[in-house]
Amino acid sequence: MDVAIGTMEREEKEDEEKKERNNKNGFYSNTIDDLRFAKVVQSEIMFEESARPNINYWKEVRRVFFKNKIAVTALVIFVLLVIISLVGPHIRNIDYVSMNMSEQNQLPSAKHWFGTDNMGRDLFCRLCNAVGISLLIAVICTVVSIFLGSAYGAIAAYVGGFVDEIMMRVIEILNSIPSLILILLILVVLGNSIPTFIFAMVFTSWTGSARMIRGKVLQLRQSEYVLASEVLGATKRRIVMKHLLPNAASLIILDVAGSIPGFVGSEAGLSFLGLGLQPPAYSLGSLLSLGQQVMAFYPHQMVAPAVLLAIIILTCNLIGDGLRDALDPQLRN
Amino acid sequence: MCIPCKKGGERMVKYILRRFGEMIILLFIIFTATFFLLAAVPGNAIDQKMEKFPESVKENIVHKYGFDKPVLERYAISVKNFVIDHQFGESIVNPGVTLSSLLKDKMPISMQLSARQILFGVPIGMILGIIAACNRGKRIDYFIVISSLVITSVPTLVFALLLQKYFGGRYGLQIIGWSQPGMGFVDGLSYTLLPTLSGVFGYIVGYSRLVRTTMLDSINQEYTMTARAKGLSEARIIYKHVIRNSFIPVCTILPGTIAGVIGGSLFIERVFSIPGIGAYYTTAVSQRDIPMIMGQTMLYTLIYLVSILVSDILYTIVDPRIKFQ
Amino acid sequence: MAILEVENLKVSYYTYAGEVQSVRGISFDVECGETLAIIGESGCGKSVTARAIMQLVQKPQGEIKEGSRIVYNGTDILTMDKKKLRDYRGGECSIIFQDALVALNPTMKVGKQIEENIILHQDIDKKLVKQEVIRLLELVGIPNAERRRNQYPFQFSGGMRQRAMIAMAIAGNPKILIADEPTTALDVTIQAQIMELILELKNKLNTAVILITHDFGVVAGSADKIAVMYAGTIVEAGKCEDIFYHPKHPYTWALLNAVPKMEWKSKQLLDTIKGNPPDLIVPPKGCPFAKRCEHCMNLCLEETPEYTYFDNGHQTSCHLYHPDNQNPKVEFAYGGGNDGQ
Repeated sequence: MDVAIGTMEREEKEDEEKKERNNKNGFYSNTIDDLRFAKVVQSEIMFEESARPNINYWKEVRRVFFKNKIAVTALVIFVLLVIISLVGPHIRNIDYVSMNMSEQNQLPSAKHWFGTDNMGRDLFCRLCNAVGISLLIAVICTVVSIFLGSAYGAIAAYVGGFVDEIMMRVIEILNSIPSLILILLILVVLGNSIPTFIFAMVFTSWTGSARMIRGKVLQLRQSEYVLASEVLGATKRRIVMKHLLPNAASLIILDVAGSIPGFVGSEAGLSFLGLGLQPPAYSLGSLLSLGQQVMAFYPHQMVAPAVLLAIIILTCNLIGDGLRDALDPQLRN
Repeated sequence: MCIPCKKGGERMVKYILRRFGEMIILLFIIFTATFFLLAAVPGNAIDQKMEKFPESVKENIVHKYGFDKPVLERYAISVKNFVIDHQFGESIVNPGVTLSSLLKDKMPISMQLSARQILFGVPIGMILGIIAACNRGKRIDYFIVISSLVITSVPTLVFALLLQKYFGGRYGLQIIGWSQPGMGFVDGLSYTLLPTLSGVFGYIVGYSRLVRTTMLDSINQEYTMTARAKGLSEARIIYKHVIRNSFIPVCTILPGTIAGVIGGSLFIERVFSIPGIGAYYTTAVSQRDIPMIMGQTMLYTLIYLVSILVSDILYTIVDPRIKFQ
Repeated sequence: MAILEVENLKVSYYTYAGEVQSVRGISFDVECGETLAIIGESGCGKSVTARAIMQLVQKPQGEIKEGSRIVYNGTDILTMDKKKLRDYRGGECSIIFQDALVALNPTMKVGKQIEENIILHQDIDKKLVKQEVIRLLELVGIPNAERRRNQYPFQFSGGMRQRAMIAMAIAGNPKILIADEPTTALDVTIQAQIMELILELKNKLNTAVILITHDFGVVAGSADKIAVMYAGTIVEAGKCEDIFYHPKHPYTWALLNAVPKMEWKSKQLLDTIKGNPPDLIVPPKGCPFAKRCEHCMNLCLEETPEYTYFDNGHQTSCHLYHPDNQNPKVEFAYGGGNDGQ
């Protein structure tokens, strides 16, 4: 529809312009019989805009992303999952916190959709909560680590020189310890609690964002268009707002999309090993670990959190992939 | 105009020596940092283990492990032990266990597990990546890309658990444990198949994605067009021009993979109760067994650093443009 | 006899902004042993034409449109089977790319890269291949060929790299050599040497050369025929002398006036062509040059001009030569003459 209206308007406009031009060029057309050969004043037409519509980057990103069926499906599933996990425990109206030995290890039923665990607690509600906790931890970790990492990287790149050298060395040292080992070490030192757990995961993951942002900022600072705007007297603020941020924004979005499933996975792994969340707090990883203990007799207690974990990571990855296709013009063919 | 390459060998030795020196310094920094971090931990294995013992016995044991000495003195002793004997002391929880006994008893099992995963996972992944890249945009590419995305989304842990649940104890496959020396091939396989499978998909998928990306990058380069303009067949273009250039990044990542697989197998070892070194580390951590944590941390870090060094050296070998600086 | 005939060639590239009609129906032919220069500013489709002749336009990024014909020695290369196409590429027709640094495989020794061509297109004993490589390297003026053979492209200087690229291109004894801006990436002093080398080799080996360039200066001494390309079309084509001394199209005039001349007075300004070339995602309705043309008429904005033919195969697509045009005749004058002074 839009396109059709656009062409019609354009045609009308063109017709008017043609008439105008002919009037202006009346001098020529008087001397020449055939209007077709009337001369056109060059300056009038030279910078007329071409018919190609202007492309707004973010609009285009949205268009490409929402055209990607797989990514949109993943997004819908992910959002539904989040909503269910938020609302689920409240609408079920079941006590899933205290133990209920009379309803131990039940199979899925109308009362307990996903059955109960070995303490007789409703598994559906526990799973909902676990998804919420897992995602919350992942989001907090992502936000903190990317924020810190980006700031660190940007400062290193902006200040440069000696400071940059030292800042990069610190990253190098951190990177030379395997991250899992580092997380475990930190947990040993600081003890197990949700804040220390988040700290440990952030501590090992911010270096990636820092390196990336530093690279991007360095590249942009050396790029000719930033140099050009500096020469033209643009303020630092303007350069940061107009050039650095928009260029780094797509990178940061991708980083966020890639980090969340990563954190969900490592949180689950650590909690499974008994090194993450400690009871009574629980997440998908703890449920997996509990499920494994009774796996032989009540497989659903293990399979449910396992499948949920896989679905969450898969949908996040698919959304991330869709975003990458939408954000990176070089990849779009 | 041209760089004489006569002294290449000498420069390489110098480069490796310098990197080695840097590595030792780094190792020492990490050693120190780890030591003081662990020294700051309030409670260690002794407290946990000796809770019910009388004070005098406790003191005796504390004395035996040297925990009654001042931190700096303990540090000096550890440095001495580390530098001269490469030892970190006996385990507090399991007396008699040291890092070298771990290396002898548990390391081979972890190595077997890792080697199996890499030997199957990496080549299969590379082949799939090449197939996908050569058929870019076609159905098979689409299939490989989508299935790798789905498989990467399943954590190794979940894979291991599901495999254990649905295949363990059936089809002649064992639920837990690892093959013993002297076992026949089939018996051994009944233990090793599931743990290996749990990890192998991660490598297949990781490497197929990596190889596909780097190959596509190389295919889009102008030298590929030159090769095509020469009249080379597509197969030869891929084989002679694309693969070498696109495998440069792969080569540099491979040593890291080999180092990282030990950490990655941690979950598999835990799920299948395999008596490997990774499983022991998690135990040591949860029991706050400081000498063991110390020793294993240094071990992992050393393996990791060596792998980085190896990948850097590999890089200079595969890519003639990189010179040792 | 024409060794290569291009008929109604249309090539599109698919970018994220849309389909770019890089080449929009061009026709020309090349005789045995003659030099055709295709000249035009960047983005006019001249390099795409070169790639199309080598059948290097690959789906899904680009596509040679239906109805195009590229006939080499009587066979259309667009319908050739794979085997024949491989013999054609490098053996009958080969190409020198603009930037040898990216066009040569960075991780393969230069000698090896030349060897590939020899093995593919020459019937030669394997033992003699190395001798042939050295002969070729010496032929293109690379000293120390024996040692250079075992070096990588990054160890070569820009000019030497381009020479190696040329050695590679002539290794298969092609009948047609396409030089896609062979001197653009080089220093001015080296440029002349490389051009000289190409012409020398052309005479020695009696190949036809398709020289693609944006520089009239490069063309002056070397081309037999010239085709001037603008926005994916050939706006004017003809014998070299005709184009230089009797150019017909306003775009050619503008190009010629954009080349500095020795005899000019010191204060003479160089002419520039105002405005920008049209967007080939939405090509203009009329003459593509109309909006930048000093002689633009109403008709030019409406209708694409047909070719008008002059003597010696000289042709141009411009409404100035429309039979109904009764405007006073416009002639080309060197040195601008209109403004610029």
